[in-house]
Amino acid sequence: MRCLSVVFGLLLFFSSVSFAHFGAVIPSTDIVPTPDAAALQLEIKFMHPMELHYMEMAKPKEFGVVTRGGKIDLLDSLQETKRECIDPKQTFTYWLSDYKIKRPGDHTFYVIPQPYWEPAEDLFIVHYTKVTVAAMGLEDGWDQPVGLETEIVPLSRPYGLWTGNLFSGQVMLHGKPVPYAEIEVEYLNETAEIGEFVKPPADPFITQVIKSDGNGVFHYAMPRAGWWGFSALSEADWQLEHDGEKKGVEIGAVFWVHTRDMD
Amino acid sequence: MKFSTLLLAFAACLLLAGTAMAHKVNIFAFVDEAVVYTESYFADGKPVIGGKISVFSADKRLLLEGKSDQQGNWQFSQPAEKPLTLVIEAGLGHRGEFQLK
Repeated sequence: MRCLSVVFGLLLFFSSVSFAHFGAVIPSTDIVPTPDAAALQLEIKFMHPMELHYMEMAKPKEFGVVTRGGKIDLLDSLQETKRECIDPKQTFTYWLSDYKIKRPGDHTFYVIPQPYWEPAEDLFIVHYTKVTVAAMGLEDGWDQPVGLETEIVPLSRPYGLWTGNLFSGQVMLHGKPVPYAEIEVEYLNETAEIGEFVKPPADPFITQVIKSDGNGVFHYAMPRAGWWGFSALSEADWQLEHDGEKKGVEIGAVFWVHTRDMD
Repeated sequence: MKFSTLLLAFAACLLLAGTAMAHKVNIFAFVDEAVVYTESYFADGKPVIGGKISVFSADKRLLLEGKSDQQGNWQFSQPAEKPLTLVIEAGLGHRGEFQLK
């Protein structure tokens, strides 16, 4: 009940504004210390993380994990799931995957979604989304690209981060750094462990906007415990058809990291 | 001569101290067809070479001892006891543990 009234308050607050889309791949944990904790559940969504709006998500084109230099296709593990969003009061589709980590080493999960048609922006959106889960003390691979059309390659180890830590990354497009890339940063406003929703005092607090340097390198210090999404957008050098007309495609390089309070 | 030896010793100490701080030793094991395979590694992925591995039963009896090879691996026939505790010791206070169920 208390939760509902908070959500209602949020809705009033957000009703007139529209924000950044984010592909999301959120694992049940970012660190697997022992085989006992190796059963992961991952949620794959397309959403506005701060306002908790969900977009209808079609089954991704690709979903997999890169570990110890090898790629494992996990597309068949995806289960279609529905969740009700309060505003608008509609049911939205997202995807779940159960995955058991078998060996030590960094596991970078990646999603390539189907292009999403966004009439409000008159373009398609494709967010290449990644998250890294550490397993059993072997910290190798988190600094390696997966080889996506565009992606964020971390320069900070992307797990075991404290609240307030700086997250640094490099935005890549076709394997090359993107100079002065614009990166949107949002907090996933549903973190159960915090127990309450964040209420941004004004619109610019919802999506933080930073720019990379000439080498595509960016930094952001995360002020709260929970999941943080980083999204760098580029325009694709290819187009897609919508109702017989060629339309542009926004491609996003999205990376998620988790922070914990130091207490 | 004496001074340069001292300097070298000092440099070696610094190097070793740095290693001790930055590298945690880990051991991982799995069973395949009644053989227990172990892998011992530092956090950055380097193998633990010549690490001493001890295998204990649930009641803390030492069942077996072995040494990790150049790849950080060591294997042994699966004993009847379950579960097992595997301990790797690699000098300089480096120690890692793994529970095999």
